[in-house]
Amino acid sequence: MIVAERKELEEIKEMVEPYDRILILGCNTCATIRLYGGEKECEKLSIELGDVFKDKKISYKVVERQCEQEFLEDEAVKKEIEENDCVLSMSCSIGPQTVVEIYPNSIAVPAQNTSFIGRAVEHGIFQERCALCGDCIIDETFGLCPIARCAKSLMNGPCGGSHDGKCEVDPERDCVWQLIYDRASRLGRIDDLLGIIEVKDWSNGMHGTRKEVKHV
Amino acid sequence: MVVIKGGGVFGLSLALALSGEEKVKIYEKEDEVGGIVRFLDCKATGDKCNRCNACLLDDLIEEVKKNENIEIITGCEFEGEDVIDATGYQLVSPLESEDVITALDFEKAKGEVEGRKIAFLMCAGSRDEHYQERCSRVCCTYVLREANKLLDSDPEKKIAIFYMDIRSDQLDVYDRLKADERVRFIRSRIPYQEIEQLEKGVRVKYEDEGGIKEEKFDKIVLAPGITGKDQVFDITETMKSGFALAYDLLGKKEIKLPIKEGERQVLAGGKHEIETEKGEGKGVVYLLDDRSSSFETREKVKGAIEARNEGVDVSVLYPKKGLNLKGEEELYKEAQSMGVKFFMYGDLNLSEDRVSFRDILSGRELELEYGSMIPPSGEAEKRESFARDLGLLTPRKNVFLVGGDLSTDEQERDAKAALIMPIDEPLYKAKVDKDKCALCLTCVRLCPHDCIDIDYGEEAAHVREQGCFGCGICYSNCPARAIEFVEEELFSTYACENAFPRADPGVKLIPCSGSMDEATLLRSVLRFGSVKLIACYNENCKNYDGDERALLTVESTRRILGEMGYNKDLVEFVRKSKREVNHDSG
Repeated sequence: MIVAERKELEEIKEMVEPYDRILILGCNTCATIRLYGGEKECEKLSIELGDVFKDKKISYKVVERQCEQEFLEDEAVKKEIEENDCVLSMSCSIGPQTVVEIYPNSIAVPAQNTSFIGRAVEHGIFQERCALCGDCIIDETFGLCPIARCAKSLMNGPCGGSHDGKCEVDPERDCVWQLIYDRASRLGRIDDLLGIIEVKDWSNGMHGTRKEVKHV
Repeated sequence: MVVIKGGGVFGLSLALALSGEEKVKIYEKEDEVGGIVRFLDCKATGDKCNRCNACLLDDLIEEVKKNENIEIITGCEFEGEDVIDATGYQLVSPLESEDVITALDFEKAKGEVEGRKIAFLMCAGSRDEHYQERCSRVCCTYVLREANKLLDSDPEKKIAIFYMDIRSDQLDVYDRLKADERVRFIRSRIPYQEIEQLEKGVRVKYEDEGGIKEEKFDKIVLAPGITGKDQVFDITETMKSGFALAYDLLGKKEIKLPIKEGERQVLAGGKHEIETEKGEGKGVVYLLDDRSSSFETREKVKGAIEARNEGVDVSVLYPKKGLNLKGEEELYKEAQSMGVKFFMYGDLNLSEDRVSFRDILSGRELELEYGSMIPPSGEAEKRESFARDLGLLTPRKNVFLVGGDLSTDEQERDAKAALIMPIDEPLYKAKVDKDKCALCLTCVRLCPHDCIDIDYGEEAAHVREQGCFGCGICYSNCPARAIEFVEEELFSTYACENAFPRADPGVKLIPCSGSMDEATLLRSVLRFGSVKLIACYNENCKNYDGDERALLTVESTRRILGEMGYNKDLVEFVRKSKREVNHDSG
């Protein structure tokens, strides 16, 4: 699930300052489930902005998924978007981009910094589990991703900064190579770690490539 | 290895409990293990077992002897430190002579005593400032059983039972004896100096309702006071966590419990009325009835002391059954020394401003005019305070602690008491709007009562209604606002109904502080300038962590206020308990 963090209020204020009618647009999928852009968060932000900009019209609406044009083309949503000067999207950054593609005359700004793909390790606490590298190797690391979870994205770890199972970058953070090692020894397959994981093809992921996948 | 000093029931049971993880050595100074219980006689009458449990000792000993991890050394007293002291209890007996024996001697003689007229003296050495002030708790029960057994084995016996009040739950035996014409129950305490050993038999003088009497008995059986050793219980703290927990349960560690409506009125209402009546010089009457629990009695006597402190004339009227102040006799003394009047009443007549009754102890007809009268609590409160008396209540709704007592009788009684407790039904129950539910699992993860799961057919969260306690934690946390709950109206103070004692026009009582959400708090700040959320003390929350969730909500609201440029302190978070006497209205 896509995890994002809401921008500071100051930054949001600057983005919406020029507009008089602002629609806070929530998303009922990742944004709701990951507690950053569902109805509750929209409501809170509308109270905040309503108090800061007393003479602006602030409203909010939640759509099923902002990444799907069908949900944005819904009549009620269309009416709201067209009636307002600015859409403040509470979804991941796909939301505002979809809005402007479908409504070329509209202005859409992001309320969130899209952070990572991860899971809730407990209620309200999310951790990154995938770095979108485009060449998955977790079969070789017993199901744990060193690209996403190692500070150096080492493919043959651990490094010298692993202390008592924690990472030198952040003492709260587990050293994923320690976890991989522990898991391998529990499974009795520690020898499997003796091999070297070859350099992978980074051109499949990260930056600079045009990514498109066809599932038809 | 663990060394236990003393092979009585406690030592043996403890050895068994510890033997799973440790080697245990028991040192017993006598030649046999089993302690005092060894001497106890079976109390069965005819074919009827009266559940004295004395025979369970044999099973216990057999089990311990079979256990490979336990070694028993008899005829040897262990000297040294680092042992668990399980050396049992001692009897506090005020006197003994040829025909005045203790109940333990009676047991040792298998209940065979000479003579026809036998007297049992309860509370001999207990509840007496010269010996032991507190109640020994088990004496009434075994005296009833002993008397019952005695009549059964020798139908010619005439029995007199001298008592202060009967605190036993052996109602069947009590009723049987009460109905038997060979048994007299005499509510009196024979002064020890008035017990005279004759050449044969004993002569006593005592006072009861009919005045001073003199009587001769063939034998007197004392139910002596029982005193334990404090260090027996200290050892549990050094033991493993499992035992520390058991200790908490057995020790019935005091928890700040919120109390129910009726009792609250007695406390809060009582004080309030006193204030208004103070100038008129009329007194306050606290009325107890046959079914007043020791909790109720204690609270009323405390109320009486408080009222007396205000300079009001205070009377406490209690029934013939006695003043049920189990274990808190010093409270009675304190009240008496302050001038609170106590009356044991018969033939009570209540009118609007006066109460008339027969004062049993003096035999006079009395009439009291009162400014306010605090009645005995009602049925539901009686049940709750009964359960409280037994130590059954936990801070959780509909969750009771049963089986902390040692005897099976008491465990059974506890279980029954828990069963008759009224089920606490919530005012509101959560409901899910299926269309809005995003299946985020927030409610499933946060529900403290574990009553929400996912209905895969409906593709929405589903609240199991019977399990819902109406705390509203799911409502305040649902990111899709899919949970319907209480209608919102803005107030400047919100209080958990378990934390705040009374309805107040400025205060909105909510089912749990955890049901409060940031949006409502923010709106209230913007409307009223500030907002206050009153939550329970940490261990008091009936919804496990409702107060913690409320604190998270408050912190998050403060953060938002800070972002908006407001003072973060506009949201105030206060912990309170319904039982705190001094409270402000916010």
